[in-house]
Amino acid sequence: MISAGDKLGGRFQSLINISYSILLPDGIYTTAEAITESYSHLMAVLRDIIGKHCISFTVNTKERFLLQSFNMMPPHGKRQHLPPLKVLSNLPDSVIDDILMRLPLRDAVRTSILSKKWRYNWCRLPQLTVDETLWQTTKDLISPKIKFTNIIYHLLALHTGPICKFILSISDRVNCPKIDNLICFLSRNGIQHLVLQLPFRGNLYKLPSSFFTCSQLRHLVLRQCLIRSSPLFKGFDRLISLELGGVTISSEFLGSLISKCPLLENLVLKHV
Amino acid sequence: MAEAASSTIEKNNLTLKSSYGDEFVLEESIAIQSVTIKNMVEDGCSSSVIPLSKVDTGTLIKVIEYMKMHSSTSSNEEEIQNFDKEFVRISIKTILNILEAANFLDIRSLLDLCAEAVANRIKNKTPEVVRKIFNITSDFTPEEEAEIRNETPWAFEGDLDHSLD
Repeated sequence: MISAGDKLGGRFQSLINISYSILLPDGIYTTAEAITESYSHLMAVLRDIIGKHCISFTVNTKERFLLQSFNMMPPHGKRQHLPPLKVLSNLPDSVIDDILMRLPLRDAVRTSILSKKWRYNWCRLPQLTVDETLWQTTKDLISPKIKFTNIIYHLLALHTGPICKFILSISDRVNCPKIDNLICFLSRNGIQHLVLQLPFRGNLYKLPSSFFTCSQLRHLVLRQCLIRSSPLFKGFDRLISLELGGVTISSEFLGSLISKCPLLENLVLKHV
Repeated sequence: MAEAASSTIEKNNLTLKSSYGDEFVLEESIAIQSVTIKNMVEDGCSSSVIPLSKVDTGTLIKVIEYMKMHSSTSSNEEEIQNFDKEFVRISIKTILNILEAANFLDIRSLLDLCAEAVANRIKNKTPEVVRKIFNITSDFTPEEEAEIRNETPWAFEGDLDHSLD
């Protein structure tokens, strides 16, 4: 008993000195297995050890420490893994969003199957990136275009709330699919940061008139598309940065576009 | 005004108290990286001990370690980057505790660091593994699960990682 106690003491001392960690390493169970005495006896031993080794601990912490240690003792001294002290589901929604926003969309959407609590967490994400990693995951014969259309349909059907940032990146290997509905959806959901990287193949994609109603835009990047003037365009009052690459636009409308963005600070034009 | 003037002359210390009752003395200039603490200081609530009822001792020690490093004028950007990298090489449970504390204390850079670390550990994992990592029990029937997979099949395709690490 005493030797077991000494081993425990060493454990506790190093733990407390290094990090005050409440999580005990697996090693404690090996020692615990050797202890066949009653709980009260074990408590007495632990109390004694902690008393000797951590004088600076307040009584309050000591009690908690003992309780924690006891709770972690598996029944019948059987070795098993610690139950986690925190469960991800207990995190506030804002923190869950912080985690999900750092995941590729595919991984974020996959969290819908974790539990009922997680079912629709991804659906409120305000930032979405749609690129070909989403539709080139398998080697099946469904065309990327059909897959892409399905994905956009799923996103539009399931997403709720504002979308501040949307990045769409389609490689040159495919023809540009119809994305008018997507742009319309974004224009009505407060889009502030829009990146459209469209394929060069085939005809350039012509931006729909709903694009010009994205009045909240602050950052805009357009690559490979066709911009025609629209009577709906009243200016982007909040636009700070604008990048146009490989875009076809009349010089008149380009002038009009820039002059109607009073806050514009950064302008990049490439192959326009 | 008089109070503001005196605080700039002498180095003000704050005492932070963990949920277990342990007290830590920290320079105010370091502690106010936490917007929550900064607001308390500005509201004049910091004359005595600041109780952090949602932060346990082990987590508070890690948070203080982070704040000290990030307010140190002697360390350069590379050192801080290396520190951050090492800082999150800990168990996922500890990261989650720190993440929750960073949220409560409102330390944006620490929250970002931990959220990134958690995301990196879920990335490309199967749902079964993610549940295991975070101790989530599925409350779906097999039929419901099939329905969810069908809803967005592209999210469940491809080679997913079955390993816990």
